[in-house]
Amino acid sequence: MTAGYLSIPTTATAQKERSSSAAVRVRGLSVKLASRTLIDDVSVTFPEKRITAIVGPTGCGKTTLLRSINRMHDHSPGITVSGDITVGDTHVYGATTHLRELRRRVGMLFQRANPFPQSIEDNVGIAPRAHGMVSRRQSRELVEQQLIEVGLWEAVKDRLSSSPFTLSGGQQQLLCLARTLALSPEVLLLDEPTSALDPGTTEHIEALLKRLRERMTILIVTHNLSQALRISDEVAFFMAGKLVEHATSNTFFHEAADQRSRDYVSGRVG
Amino acid sequence: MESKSRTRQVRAVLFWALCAIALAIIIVPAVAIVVGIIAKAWPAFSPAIITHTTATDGLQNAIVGTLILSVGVLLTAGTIGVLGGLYIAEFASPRIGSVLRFFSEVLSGVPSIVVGYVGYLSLVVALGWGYSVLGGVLALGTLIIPYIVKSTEVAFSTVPRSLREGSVALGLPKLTMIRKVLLPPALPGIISGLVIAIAISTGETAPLLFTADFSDHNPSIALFHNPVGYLTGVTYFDLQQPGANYLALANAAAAVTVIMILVLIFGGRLITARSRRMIARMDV
Ligand SMILES: Nc1ncnc2c1ncn2[C@@H]1O[C@H](COP(=O)(O)OP(=O)(O)OP(=O)(O)O)[C@@H](O)[C@H]1O
Ligand SMILES: [Mg+2]
Repeated sequence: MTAGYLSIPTTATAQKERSSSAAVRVRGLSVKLASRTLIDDVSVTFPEKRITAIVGPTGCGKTTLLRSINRMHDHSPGITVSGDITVGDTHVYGATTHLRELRRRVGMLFQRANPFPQSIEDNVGIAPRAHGMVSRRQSRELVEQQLIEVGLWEAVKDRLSSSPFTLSGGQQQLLCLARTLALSPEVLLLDEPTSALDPGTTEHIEALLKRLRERMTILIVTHNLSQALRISDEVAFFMAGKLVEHATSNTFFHEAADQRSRDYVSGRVG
Repeated sequence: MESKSRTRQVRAVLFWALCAIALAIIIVPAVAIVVGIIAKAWPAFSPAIITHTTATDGLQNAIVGTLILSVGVLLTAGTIGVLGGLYIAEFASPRIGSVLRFFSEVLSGVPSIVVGYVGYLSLVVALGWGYSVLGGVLALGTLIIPYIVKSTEVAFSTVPRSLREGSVALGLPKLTMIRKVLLPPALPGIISGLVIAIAISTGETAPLLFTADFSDHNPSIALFHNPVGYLTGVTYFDLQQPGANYLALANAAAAVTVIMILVLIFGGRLITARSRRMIARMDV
């Protein structure tokens, strides 16, 4: 089940990048939609090779924060981002930032599975090929490796060329995760990835995330506090676009400094 | 209470009656025209229609001419229209997009006879092409490009946002996203738009009268100074001639035109349905 990641044949540079992961530093981040402030002067550092749960009541800006890190807002007219974010040594909003390379390094999984209208195999292989990380021939091996990694291989190995829409919702989400992991990202942004999944698949993904933590920085937005408790090393708690508290999971859940955090944990807020 | 539900009942009946009338208004004339035309043309149908040209009471040159014009329009207007729609949907800034859309809408509002006359002045006279297949293709194409632009734009812009975001988040190059992610779901819409546009152009007469004139002989390959025959032209000219054989030929040409359009529409539906199913199944 546990696929040796390093056994994938790759070019030397891809190999090097593969072994690195990067912290995400957010400094004075504000996000505005027209004159409305969605994120208000947030500074926080998400340490590398840790799982940080991002929690808070609905509409507090969790998704907006995630989308700032891989610059998805670039494609939303009316949204302006100010402040500074770095991924490793790279300034995300730097003038010379290579956007496609940034998105290769910072992977994102959406709340709802969004497989491409291509074969199951091409769904996983399309991005590494487009980034020139593997040849068409190597792509096959990479696809197998990634599908094994997410635990989907047994279910799909006999129908790699069929449509992803024949898979169940949970399987489709696993496929999308494999598609994101195929780029060997250093940072993984997850926006309520399991909110539409059954407990079994959720548990499966949580176990996978704990393994992935060994080699990447993981940010997971979740409304499920027991999920945050189960898998996160740290918690960042937001309200109305502001960071209220950032602490280790243990501290956050048992002896949070801020009264609002304690209320949230005990279910009195949000 | 009692009377209130009565009113509601009456309203419901009225609503359904109006729906039924509207439906009848759509269906009855469509069926009547198709059946009427074919029934009228029936006596004139004989192998001679295909084996003879309009010089000798057949339609061969007109059928071949219409097919050539349609293929020409598909290749030229189809390419320009699809690329234009793709540009508006995926590349143009909102401002440029709305400017292009405006011009396309203006073009679609220009009457076909005006398009024909402008084609006559510019292509036939100013450029000195004379009457020609190429002139006919360009005039017809001008007429239907707006339809193709619109249907292509709609086909691309109705692809779910989640697919677009998924591609962007993976750092896929724009062309890869368009080819691999957006095109498959957009394709049925693009194809049905093309087919309907070609069907419209097949039934047009005015632009061709001004740019292609008419010929009783089979089309030849010369692009310029080379009038060409077409089905709607037969109907148009022969209805004005005295004599039963002319009337019969005009009817036959109208029937063949309608049949070609029906085949196009059914064919388009088939292709659309099939590509929809292919996306769902995707046994590539
Ligand atoms: N494109 C947009 N147009 C209008 N408002 C937006 C847009 N994107 C975000 N917002 C607003 O920004 C605020 C933050 O939204 P965001 O999606 O980040 O919240 P969230 O914390 O992810 O909420 P949830 O837990 O419900 O997913 C909300 O008030 C939302 O209404
Ligand atoms: Mg959200």
